[in-house]
Amino acid sequence: MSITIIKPGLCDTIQDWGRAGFRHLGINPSGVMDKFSTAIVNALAGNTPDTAVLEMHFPAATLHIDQDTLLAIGGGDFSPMLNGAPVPLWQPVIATAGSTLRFDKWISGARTYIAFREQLQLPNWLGSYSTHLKAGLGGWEGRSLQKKDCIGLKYQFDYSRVANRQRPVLPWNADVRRYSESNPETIYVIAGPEFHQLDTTVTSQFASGYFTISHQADRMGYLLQEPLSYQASKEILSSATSFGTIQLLPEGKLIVLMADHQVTGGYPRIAQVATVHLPKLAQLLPGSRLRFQVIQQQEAERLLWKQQQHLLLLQQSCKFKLEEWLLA
Amino acid sequence: MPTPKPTYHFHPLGDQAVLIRFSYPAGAALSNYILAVYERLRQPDTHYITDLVPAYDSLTVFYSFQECGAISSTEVSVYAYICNRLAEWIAPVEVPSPPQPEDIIRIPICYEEAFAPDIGEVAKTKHLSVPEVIREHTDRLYRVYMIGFLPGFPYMGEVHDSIVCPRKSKPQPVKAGSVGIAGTQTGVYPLDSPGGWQIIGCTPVKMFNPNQANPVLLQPGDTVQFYPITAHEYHHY
Repeated sequence: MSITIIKPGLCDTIQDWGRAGFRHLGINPSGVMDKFSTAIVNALAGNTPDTAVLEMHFPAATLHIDQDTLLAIGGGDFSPMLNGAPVPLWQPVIATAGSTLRFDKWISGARTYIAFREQLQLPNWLGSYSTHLKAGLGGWEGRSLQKKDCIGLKYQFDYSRVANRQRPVLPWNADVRRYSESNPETIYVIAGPEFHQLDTTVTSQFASGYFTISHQADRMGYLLQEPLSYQASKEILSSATSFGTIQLLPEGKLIVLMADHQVTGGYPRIAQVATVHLPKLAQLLPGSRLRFQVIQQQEAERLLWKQQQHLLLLQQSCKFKLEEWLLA
Repeated sequence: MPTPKPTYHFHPLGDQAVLIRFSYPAGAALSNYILAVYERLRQPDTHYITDLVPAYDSLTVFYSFQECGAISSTEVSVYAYICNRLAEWIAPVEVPSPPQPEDIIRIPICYEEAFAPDIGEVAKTKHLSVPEVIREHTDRLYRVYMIGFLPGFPYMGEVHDSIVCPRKSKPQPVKAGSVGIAGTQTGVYPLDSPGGWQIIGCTPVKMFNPNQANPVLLQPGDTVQFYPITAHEYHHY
């Protein structure tokens, strides 16, 4: 029993929480760009937050599903249509055997996620199901999904007793509005290891300016358009970089490293995006404007705790709801 | 008298990693100490460390915020907690006596023009002949300082002064196996990739083999020597 790609999208990959523990070999973790959305769709589908999901960009793939599945879609809104009828984001959906899921129209965001309660059946590479595009390994054959790819599902559940064929949507959803913020353009960052070695004119430009995400923006990183008044004077020794590291390039441009970042780099690390804001950044498209606000480490930790507590609560509520419904 | 230990400073790299930067001239001695610290931090009592990246003058420690947070309630922040633990773990680590390079890993390289798009230019700018560049590159032992950039890409040093050359201003497509020079460093591209190093040869040896239990050939601290082979030998390796 499986999911088949009828029409491929721009870049659809299988990702999970990432491949930890191999950076010292030059193998970066990969993983989903937006962990927050992933955790929520997984919770809605009754999975742990790190379960492998489909990450899709717009235009997204059209899928054929040949068994009854319970799935949840969230992240960017690409107008999901199940068998020709719209289905909401952030809500568990039953797709009966023979269903077609397609995405009609871009509404918001850069990436959408689909979690399946039946879970994707994949070989594991170094403890993870994430696709490593550069090495061509992990996930589904190490690449983005193509027409006729047929991904197996691990489990099979019977929903015939509880499902309503006329209303495939289950009667609860995750309220994500409460997580949306008043300043969508502001990205919280923590000063990077080289921040204080840079000229204060450079760092104050960084902290006060507005920046635009250029068209060179993908899973590896976002190059920002507006340069800072900076000319590299000396080379620095290569050292670790991470998801969210903001590097200052020799001519003054900034690049924010994303999920498929290199594990090391030789450019000054002016700042590091606070983990709590990585999901927000992951949903920004080329052309989006943003500004950076430098916050203290402790504040970043406080916000991350808060986010994790919210997610934990949500996971428990979803689990309870789903169990209750399945037993009804 | 025991060798003085390199001092270090902690810098946050966001809210889930600490950069330990050592104040000591980068070189084999510092690298040995960093690797000794790295080994210490791989012991089972450090289970909330998720990843470690040893480099020339730094070691970056990635930790599980959630796991640390759950046990660090008595301290100001998770960051303070992890820094305190790191300081305790690092303190007893001794500066290792310089190891004798017992196992030299010998890697064949074909330096013929078809495999070495930049060797002519390097020879020209350094006022050497191509055979002299090959000799300079093969007549010494290199230390692997770190792995980074791509899966299994070894940063090795130091090349002979006479062949030190800068990176290219723009990255160009590089074939897997290509051997390059950048500054005093030399390295091998494990995968096809854009790259800015001056390419002077190519090895048939796989730096990165995902089907093996240890997918990466070289490790930080390894000693490497290159030796020249012909195109025929390359193809029949």
